[in-house]
Amino acid sequence: MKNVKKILALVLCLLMVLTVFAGCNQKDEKANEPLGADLTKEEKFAEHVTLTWCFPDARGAADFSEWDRIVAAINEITMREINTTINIEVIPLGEYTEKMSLKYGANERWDVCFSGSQWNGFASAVSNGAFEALTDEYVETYLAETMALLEPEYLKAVTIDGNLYGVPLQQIYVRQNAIKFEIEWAEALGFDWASVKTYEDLEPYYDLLLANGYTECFMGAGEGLMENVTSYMGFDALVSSVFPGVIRVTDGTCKVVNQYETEEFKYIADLMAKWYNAGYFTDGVAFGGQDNPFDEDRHPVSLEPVKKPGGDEIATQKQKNDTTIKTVPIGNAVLTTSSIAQTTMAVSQNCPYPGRALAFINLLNTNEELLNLICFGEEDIDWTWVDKDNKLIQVEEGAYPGNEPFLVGNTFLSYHVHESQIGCWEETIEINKNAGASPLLGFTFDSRPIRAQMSTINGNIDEYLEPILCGMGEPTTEAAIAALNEFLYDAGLQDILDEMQRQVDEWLENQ
Amino acid sequence: MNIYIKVCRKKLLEFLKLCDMIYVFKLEVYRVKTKALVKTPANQASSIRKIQRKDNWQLFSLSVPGLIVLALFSYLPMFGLVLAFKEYRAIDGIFGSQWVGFDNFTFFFTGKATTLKRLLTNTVTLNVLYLAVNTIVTIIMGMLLFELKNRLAIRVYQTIVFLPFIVSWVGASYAIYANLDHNNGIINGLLKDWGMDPVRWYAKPEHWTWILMICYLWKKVGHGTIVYYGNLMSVDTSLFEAATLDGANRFQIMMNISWPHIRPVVISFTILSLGGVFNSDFGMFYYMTNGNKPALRPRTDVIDTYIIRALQEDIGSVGMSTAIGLMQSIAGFIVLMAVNKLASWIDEKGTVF
Repeated sequence: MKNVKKILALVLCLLMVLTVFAGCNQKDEKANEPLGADLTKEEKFAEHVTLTWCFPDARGAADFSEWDRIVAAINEITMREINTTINIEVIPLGEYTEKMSLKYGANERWDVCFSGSQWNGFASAVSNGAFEALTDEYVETYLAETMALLEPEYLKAVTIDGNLYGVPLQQIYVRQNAIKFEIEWAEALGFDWASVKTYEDLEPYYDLLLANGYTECFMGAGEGLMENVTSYMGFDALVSSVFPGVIRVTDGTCKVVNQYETEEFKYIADLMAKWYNAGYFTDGVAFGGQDNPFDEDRHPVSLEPVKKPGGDEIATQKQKNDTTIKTVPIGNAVLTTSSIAQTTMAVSQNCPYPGRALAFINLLNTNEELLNLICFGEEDIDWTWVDKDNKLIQVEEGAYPGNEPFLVGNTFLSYHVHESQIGCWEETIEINKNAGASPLLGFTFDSRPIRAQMSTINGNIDEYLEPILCGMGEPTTEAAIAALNEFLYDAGLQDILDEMQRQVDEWLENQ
Repeated sequence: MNIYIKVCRKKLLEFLKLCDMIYVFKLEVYRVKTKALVKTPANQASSIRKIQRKDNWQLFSLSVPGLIVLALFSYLPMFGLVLAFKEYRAIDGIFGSQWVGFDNFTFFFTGKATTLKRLLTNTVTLNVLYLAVNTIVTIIMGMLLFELKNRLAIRVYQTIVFLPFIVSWVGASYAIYANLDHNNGIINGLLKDWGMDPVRWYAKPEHWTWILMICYLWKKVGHGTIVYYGNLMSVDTSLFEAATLDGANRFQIMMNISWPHIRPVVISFTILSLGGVFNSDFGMFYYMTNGNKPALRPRTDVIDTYIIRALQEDIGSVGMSTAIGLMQSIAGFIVLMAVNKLASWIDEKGTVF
């Protein structure tokens, strides 16, 4: 009896401790923010607010010795424009996904964050309830200027179950795969890189390279190839380029198929096998340790998932071996849900001031000064004007490393660092407007009903896929593809395809 | 490092000795004081227990910081195990999320049966193999170290074998890559120099059982060696002296005095390690195989690496990873109990409880 009492007391104690922890889970109350499209700036921003912005740091900006100066300058603008102090929480891009999912899990207070398909996945964050659904009142009051810049169909990509969960950051939305050349090697060997239209067109170039002592002519075999051939094959992937389940963009039927059973995939697989056997790349791709008798930085041909105007100049500037990058687009240009949702700004469901958070996002999308301050630093300290009319700047050597504009705000406001970039934003806007949209633009797959099957597939798909895309399917490519599909169906692919088709049909009906 | 530990240990022993002395002294004082008052032996016993308890509290207070850490990081999170039966959504919190029964457990059993079989075989056989080899090697090393009489040599050997224990697997993975890289690796360089064919290590899973075993020993042997060596230090030296006088040779001393003395420790260590037989050293299996290369998985894929691959894509998988953790713990617990029972038949002293 005595023991029972003791145990009871212990359990009660623990319960008390736990209730304390459960108390931490309480949601913050939403503040009473003024709403109405015709409010003046003074009325909207009367109260001073502090917001936490989770900042994905792509270039080590926060390690810059004068980072505090940049932060102070950012706050000067936000205080002036929206009476808000921005508390910047810097997270290195490589850790961004993990850190953010920890924040969701711990229900931590943050206000504004970047979300995309590659970093801090948009759809899964929404299904975890991490983001605030943005109501029309808030959007009209605080985000009107940005909304005017966005085409209505772009918003479809960040709308799930009729609720708007994010603000797409303007950049190249169109997916078009491309082949990337370091043109110096091609020109030295007399190969006309600009004439390449398909993968086969590369073969004469490989032969030339091989004859001149290269062993790794093609950098791009392996699992990563899927991302680079999805639009080339004419697919729109429902989950990711590797995960089975795509629709054909061109045939208009919206029938969900397993891409690994298609002729298109077989064509790519056979091509890789042919290239591997011809010696265009070695088995180092699959096993690590690639043979390259020359400088490791030499990549005569590689792949680029997205062709974008002005992208070649930026890539060229980043080259360590002083070569010039040129990309040649291949395949279709498509606008898909994931291509738009891949750079989004979202507001936390924990944020007590969703209106003010939207006002800050609005500022990042419309205030040229703020965006370029974050991405390039301060005028005359970190960069100087070369041509003010054309927004061309010269960045000081060894100064503020900055950040990628597409992680911060409206890319089309960012300054140019190379004269050949001038005009590329206008070009990009045109391309975005004229691109054909995928029939599934606006559809977001909810993977919850098939999580178990998905996990099983994610666990081992690369083991089957990697050899095929390295051209080393055993014993033959066909047999390897058959083994891959057998694995997928054993893991429950049929359930997945059925569920995908069901959701697609349901979504189409509601359109 | 070692010196520091030794100093700490010495201080602690001195402190405990002091506590002991105070305790005995107090007891004596109390006895003298209460001699006249004591009426029954039972009364006396309870009074002594009272004092004992008071002194125990003083000693107990020493362990409080450790207990707090244990409670916070090992016991409190146990309530999180309910997540194994829930579909966790951050917004609803641990207690607010929906109950889903055993749904979270199913994913591990869907898919090809061969995958599951491979996972279990690899996990259990590799763990048992490495544990067995490691135990044998550490016992031998500990006993050999004990045979040394030169203090400087002991220090040097101790440090050398212990050092890898503090190197992380990530760091070690670069070292092994430098050794095994197909083109520029040291081993392949040597093989070429000796006129042999280089081996494509990262393409040959069959070698990796042994490569990983060497890595495992390299890292773990030092720690075990020092534990056993420390145990041997506490053997009454008169036993060794008597044996020497009786004409026993070194080997006989090792087998008849050293070994029986550390046997209980070896058994309890082994039992405790077997409890974790379903949990692998993730760092080793993931990083040493160059980030879990698909080509090496037939021989190196274990439950923990599979879980990471299967669940990292989706942040909603908290429930499923908890479910797997729970299964691993339960399986480990069963093994631990069984082995403990088994050990009690062999050597009563060695059992954990």
